[in-house]
Amino acid sequence: MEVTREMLMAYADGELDEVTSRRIEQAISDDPDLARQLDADLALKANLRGHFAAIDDEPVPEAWAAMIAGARDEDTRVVELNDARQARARRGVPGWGAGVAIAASLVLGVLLGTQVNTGDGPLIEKDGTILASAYLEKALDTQLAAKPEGARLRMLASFRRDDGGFCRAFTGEALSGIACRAEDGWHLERLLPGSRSQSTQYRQAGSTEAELMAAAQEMASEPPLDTEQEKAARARGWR
Amino acid sequence: MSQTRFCDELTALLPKLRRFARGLAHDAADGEDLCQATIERALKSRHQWQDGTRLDAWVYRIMRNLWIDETRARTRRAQTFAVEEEGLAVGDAGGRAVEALIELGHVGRALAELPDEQREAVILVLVEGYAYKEAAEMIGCPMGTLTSRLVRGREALMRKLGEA
Repeated sequence: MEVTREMLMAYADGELDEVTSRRIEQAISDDPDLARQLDADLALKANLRGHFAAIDDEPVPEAWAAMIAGARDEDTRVVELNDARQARARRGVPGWGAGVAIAASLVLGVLLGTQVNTGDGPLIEKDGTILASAYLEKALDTQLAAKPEGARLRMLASFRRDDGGFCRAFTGEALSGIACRAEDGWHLERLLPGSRSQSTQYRQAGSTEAELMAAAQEMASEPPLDTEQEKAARARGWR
Repeated sequence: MSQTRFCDELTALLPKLRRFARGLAHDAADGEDLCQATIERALKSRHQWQDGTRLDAWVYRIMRNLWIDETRARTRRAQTFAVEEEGLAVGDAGGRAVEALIELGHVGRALAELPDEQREAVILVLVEGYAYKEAAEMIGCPMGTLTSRLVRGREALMRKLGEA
């Protein structure tokens, strides 16, 4: 068979399959010219590798490994910071159980204009603060977290925050959020669309509760109130 | 933790990277500069590397592009200052060139005289032992192009080295 320069080269480089390689070996043993070409090629390879082996003997500049080590340290620090942050979020405040490691900031949900400042709506705006009113205020004042599901509004948790005041996380059809008791009423600290909301393009079903609980956990200075503690707080008007 | 893997793998690649650079740049000093520049660029872009993909191919691409940029810049400079160079002391320019050639030795000189793309093919396949397919992918050319550059490079080297 005719062995081209390319074929001989490919053979020398181990690129050919078994069958073709055996045939070329046969051709080489029959043709001294081919054998000479192959030898020359192998000698060239050895020559080249020898040249680069001498380069390998030179020490690699330390600066290079040092640059890489610097980058590694940077990355390790970043990972450690992130791990610590996540562990803190996961641990949370004792009594809250495994928290949810998500971003601390909640998006202020879409507030329908009709929800605020209408006579019997759940929200009132006063001097830049949003206060609970009507059925929301009533629920915050009186409803216990233990109230069975199916109620229009459900209390998720009650807790004290740093300034000693009481806050309550709730979820409902129209809206969800966290309200904290102040002198003049329940201030809405967080607001999210309720379960009836159409705005699911940026919110997965069921995530509202998780977000609220995570936010509550960050605000809280203690574990959430149990039923007895809630009753006691309710009796004192949440003050 | 893939970022520390990047750094570990890159450190392990240093000897190979240096060989690449010396091969591409055909001059020890230029080779060291090229390798250093490549490592810097690779570290800067390390977050773009996909863990699990071939790091050697990824870094080689960076080095190759840096070298192409460098040779283009040199060509532009040579063209711009061609007229001025005639007035330069021949001894200075000649001295450094001679030094570099002596450093290179016989094989180095022969390699240096090859066109860049032939030298590249020779280094990847004959020195580093990449398969034709791998080498073609690393360069970004069809396999047929790689093999023809390889043939021409080998022939040229054998002629030059055979002469000495």
